[in-house]
Amino acid sequence: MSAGEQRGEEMVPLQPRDYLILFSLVDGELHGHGILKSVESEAGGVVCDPANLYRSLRKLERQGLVVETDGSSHPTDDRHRRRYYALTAVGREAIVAEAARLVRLADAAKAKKLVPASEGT
Amino acid sequence: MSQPRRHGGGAARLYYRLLLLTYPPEFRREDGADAAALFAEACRESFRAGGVGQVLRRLLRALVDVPRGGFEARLSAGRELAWRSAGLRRRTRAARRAPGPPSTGRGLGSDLRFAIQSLRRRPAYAATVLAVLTMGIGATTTLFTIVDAVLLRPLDLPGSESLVEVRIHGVNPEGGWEWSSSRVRADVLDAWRQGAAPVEGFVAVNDSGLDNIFYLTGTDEPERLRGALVSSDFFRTLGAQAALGRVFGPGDDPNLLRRAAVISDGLFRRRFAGDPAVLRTAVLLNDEPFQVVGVMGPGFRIYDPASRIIPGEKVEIWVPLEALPEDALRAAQMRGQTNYDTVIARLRPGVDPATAAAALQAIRDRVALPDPAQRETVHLVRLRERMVETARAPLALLSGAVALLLALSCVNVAGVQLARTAERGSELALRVALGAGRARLVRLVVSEALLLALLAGGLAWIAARAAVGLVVALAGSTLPRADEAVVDLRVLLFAFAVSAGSGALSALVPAWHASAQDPAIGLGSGRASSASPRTRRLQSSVLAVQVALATLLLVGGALLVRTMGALHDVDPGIDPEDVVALDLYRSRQRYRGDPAAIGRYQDQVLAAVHRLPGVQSAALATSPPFRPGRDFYQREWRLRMVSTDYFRLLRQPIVRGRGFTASDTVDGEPVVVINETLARARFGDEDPLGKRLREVGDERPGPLIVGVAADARHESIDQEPLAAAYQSLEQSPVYRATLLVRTAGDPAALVASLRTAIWGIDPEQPIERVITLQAQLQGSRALVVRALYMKLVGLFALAALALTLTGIYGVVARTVAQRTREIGVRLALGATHARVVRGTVWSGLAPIAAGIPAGVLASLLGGRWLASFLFGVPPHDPVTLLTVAGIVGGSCVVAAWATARRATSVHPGEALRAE
Repeated sequence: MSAGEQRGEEMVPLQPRDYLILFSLVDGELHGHGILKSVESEAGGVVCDPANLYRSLRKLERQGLVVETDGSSHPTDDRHRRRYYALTAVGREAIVAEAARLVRLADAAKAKKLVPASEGT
Repeated sequence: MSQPRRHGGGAARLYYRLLLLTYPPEFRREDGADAAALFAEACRESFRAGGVGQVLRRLLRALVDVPRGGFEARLSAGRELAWRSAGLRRRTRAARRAPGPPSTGRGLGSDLRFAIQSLRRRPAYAATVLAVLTMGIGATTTLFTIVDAVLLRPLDLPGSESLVEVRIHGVNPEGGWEWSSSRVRADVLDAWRQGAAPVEGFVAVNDSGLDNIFYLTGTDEPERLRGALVSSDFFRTLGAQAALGRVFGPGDDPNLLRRAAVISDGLFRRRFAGDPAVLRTAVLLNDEPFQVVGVMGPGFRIYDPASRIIPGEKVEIWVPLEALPEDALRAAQMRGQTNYDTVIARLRPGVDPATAAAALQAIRDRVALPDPAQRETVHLVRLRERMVETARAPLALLSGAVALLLALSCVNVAGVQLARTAERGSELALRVALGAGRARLVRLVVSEALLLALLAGGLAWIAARAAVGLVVALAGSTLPRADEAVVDLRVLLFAFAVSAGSGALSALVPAWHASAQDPAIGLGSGRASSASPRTRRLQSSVLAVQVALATLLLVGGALLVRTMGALHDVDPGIDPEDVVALDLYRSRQRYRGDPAAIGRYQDQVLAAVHRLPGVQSAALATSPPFRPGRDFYQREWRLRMVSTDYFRLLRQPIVRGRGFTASDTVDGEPVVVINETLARARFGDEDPLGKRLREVGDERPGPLIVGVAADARHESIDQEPLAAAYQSLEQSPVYRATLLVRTAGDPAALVASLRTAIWGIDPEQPIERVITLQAQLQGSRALVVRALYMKLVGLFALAALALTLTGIYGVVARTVAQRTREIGVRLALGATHARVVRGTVWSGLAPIAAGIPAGVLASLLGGRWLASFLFGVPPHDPVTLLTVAGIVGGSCVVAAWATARRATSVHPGEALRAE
């Protein structure tokens, strides 16, 4: 099942939760609680179940998208109790590809006037 | 601050770890601790962000999310294992040891994993069983939640089990009648307070009579409040604390006690907008300034008799007895005796009510010089029991119905599982042949049943949350304390226990059946075992039990329906049509003991109302029909004060003598009209006219009997008429009377002009509880309670019938499926279709024929249980029993026939090829 040699682009489309987890790791490694908080806030306050989160992390780990780290960038935290996760290169490729896919979908939706075009773009 | 948080975190962690048991052990080992810690952290954060509601949301979500995730995780783990074992490694010995699932583990874990897999292969089967069990367990859990709140939980007062209400029972040997009252004489209570060792403290309450209605004036519209006058040690003895401010106590300044009030949470929020400033201002009660010293919490309640009579009414204000108007006190002292409506005692720890009652009895006999004409005994009833005594019988009825429904669900599931075991016959036989122990087979069946039952229990627990709210909304006013019902951990534990029990019960027969498999039969053919006569016999018995249970429930429902019909048909003896009642209560202060003035006022009101167009007649009465009163009566009869036109207005015939006339005045001879029941009880066959109605133990001759009125179901439509005596309001005016008006058309249309007419005489006269007698009757406890339980039991009965019909469908359809080849042969040989249908229908008929008589018999045995709810129909009513038997039999036969017809409509050629 290991997908180590797979390329990130081939992993899209990602499942929504997997996307949110990868998204939370874009700015750097995080521990479980940080990921949970980020996922819940990005999903608009939907409650995320910790066991499911760990299950997804395990899966993403098997797929080679994330990797468990020792949390060295957080020296002040009580590291021995917390496991940190970081994006791998493949993981970064995957989320970039997925984000591009989502933007394409969003643009298509705008073109159909399903949503008003945002002012910024 | 950190202490409770850590505590909460620990509880959340434990909760989550329990849920994680649904996950495979590998996951628990590797990520379980982290996930649980993360969950606790998330809960803490939710609490900071959104309070208890947010935490609750998270706890509930986890209840659904974790088992679902665990289920998925186990499935994918199972798939991987299946993959691995597909390589056919040395399996023979392993299979001998564990011939069930392709699994590396043994014991419960592997059983469960296997059960999950095999259920997943048959989602329709799993969903059916889940739905049936969820219904049964859900109904049971819902009812338990209510029974728990109403009957099982102690009152929300410290040491509430030692609180008892004093009751005096009397038997009059002369007249043979009995009475029971909560009233206690003041001198008796004083003696008890000084001398009763087993009692820690007494509380006296006056919550009926003239002084417990308060008019809150001064701010908005005047509002009528029900209050209780309580001894100053009331709150201290009960152990109740104010939620805001303080309660009054015996140590308070007497001047304060005369003007202190404690109000309920409801009144505080409704009238004072929850503003604590009320504690610093004076409020006007009956035009006198009172100081609100405290507000009780929303949970504070003690036994309140009024709520039983008028659903929804409750005491909202407590005032010390010291605040009683002076003239009332003086009047009571002049009579030499004050009565307290209710006396509550707090027993010393370890004293049982009977011992304490004996001590109180001894003191009372010394002080009160017992009336030799009446044998009076003191009884002590636990406050909690007293509060809920009206709820016991209805809850017992519902518990019975729900228990039957649960039993039926379990039996139904057992039937479905039996069929499944039969279908799996060859698989199980193979396992036995491979050396699987019978215990192992039983475990396979049981673990599947348990898994389904526990899942159903979880669903039921969630469903109960909605259902409890619904039942409380429907039944809240007729069930005391029902609003305290909460679906909590206790209920979860109960649901868990019931599910485990149901799972075991529903697996019992199939497991036994599976263990008795003969491998030779099972292996002979893929199908043969399922047609074995033993299996069929078992299936038939299971079906018969279902039919019997459904019949039993339907008999109960049908009897209640007939009861409602009988209650609607009963003649109350008075004509409530087009009569409206209005309470015209006058305050005592207005008259200061001048009865003539009240008499004049009554005459004025009646005359003014009579002049209104559309009014046919008007009368005043102290106790209008269909409003049961309190049980203070120590007389043989109920005494009712009525004005002259009363009998004519209610169309209650005078069967002998005369009714009241204008000549019955204050100065005239005191007269009385008695009803037939009292005439029979007192005078037997003698003519009561011209005799006097003397009270037992009273030397005075009593009033002259001038007439006998026909009996009426005055108290309640379902009660035999009580002995009653009517006296003229002209001769003895009272402060509080209800105005009855018979109108030519719709009484509601006249209410406005009635008000104007009454206020024309006294603009400050409060007019309350305006209600037509018809509405009063329809809203009476006798009808409302029965209508509710009729609907609930009827609903259960219909659900039971539906379940049974699906059971019949299953058995007949399977019989047909098992005999497809035989049917094909018969059709090919020229048997008509109808003949084949008839042949197969028989498979469903035998259990029906056995089940219906069994159900009828059971209903005959259990009928006494229902008897107290029935009216006008005996529990063994043959018409009802036959009708129900007909309905059950008919619908079952139709179900069996329709199933057989559909199932046998195969082409003979196809049927022959079916092998």
